Amino acid sequence: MNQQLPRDDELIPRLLAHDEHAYAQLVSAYHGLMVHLARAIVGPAIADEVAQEAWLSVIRALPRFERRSSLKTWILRIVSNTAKTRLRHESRTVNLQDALGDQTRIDPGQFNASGRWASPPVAWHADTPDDLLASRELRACIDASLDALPPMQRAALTLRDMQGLDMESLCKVLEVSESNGRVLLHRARHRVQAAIEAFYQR
Amino acid sequence: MKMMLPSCREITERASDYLDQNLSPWQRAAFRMHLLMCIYCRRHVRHLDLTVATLGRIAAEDETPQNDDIQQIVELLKRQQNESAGQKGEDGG
Repeated sequence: MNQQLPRDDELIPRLLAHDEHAYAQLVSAYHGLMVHLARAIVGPAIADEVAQEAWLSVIRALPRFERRSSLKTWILRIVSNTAKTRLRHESRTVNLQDALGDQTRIDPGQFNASGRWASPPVAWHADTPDDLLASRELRACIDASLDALPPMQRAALTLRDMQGLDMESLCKVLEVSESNGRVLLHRARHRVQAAIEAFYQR
Repeated sequence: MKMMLPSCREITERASDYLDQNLSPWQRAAFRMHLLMCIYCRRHVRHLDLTVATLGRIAAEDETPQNDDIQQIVELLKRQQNESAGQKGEDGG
């Protein structure tokens, strides 16, 4: 849907002038992505609501946008912050420490004392994403592993591997250091990989 | 001095950075050397690569926003803009 979105320096003045067509272009380019990110952090029930709230903030704050990042990155950071605030209000705290501090490292039991594989990975009988996704049961395992990820890990995975953001933008959006961003991504990927591995081990 | 090759455990810890081209040239060389000798780590890294590709595929099938949704947001933004035009000067910035 985001074909023909004008460049930021062309689009921003039109947005500031309340050009309705520019609003529509911006919304159709980024709304899906915003909902996807919101869902990663707060879950499906209130993701739409969070995205709406973020849109209002975007338009309100746009006159003060300093263009130190792309418009897209800036908008996504507003979504991320809106979602994190919401999550804090909704229930448990979701500071970075919580999100990072969970036990998602590879099970140490997989390796022996010298760091070699004790229970090596099994063959997957799949060479492509299509092979993997052909099994509904496996697809359900993957979805369940995504749902079980801590919010920040899921957000990192969503932005980088599902939406193709580069690492620098990811870190700006989530307001984490580069090394923390990498840890979030690494752990999230490993969790999903472990879920697929568990499926083939059965 | 002999170069210390990473262990299998270390390979799994760095696999994500390896795929993202985020290792130093030395780390990368040592990583690849280990892969040459270890079928299980080759498998592990291949699986991680496939996992990442699969996530991209899942995202691609995600629903794009409906025209109704887009229109609804645009209306919301217009309404807010009209309201703030009605009480100008409120936004200090």
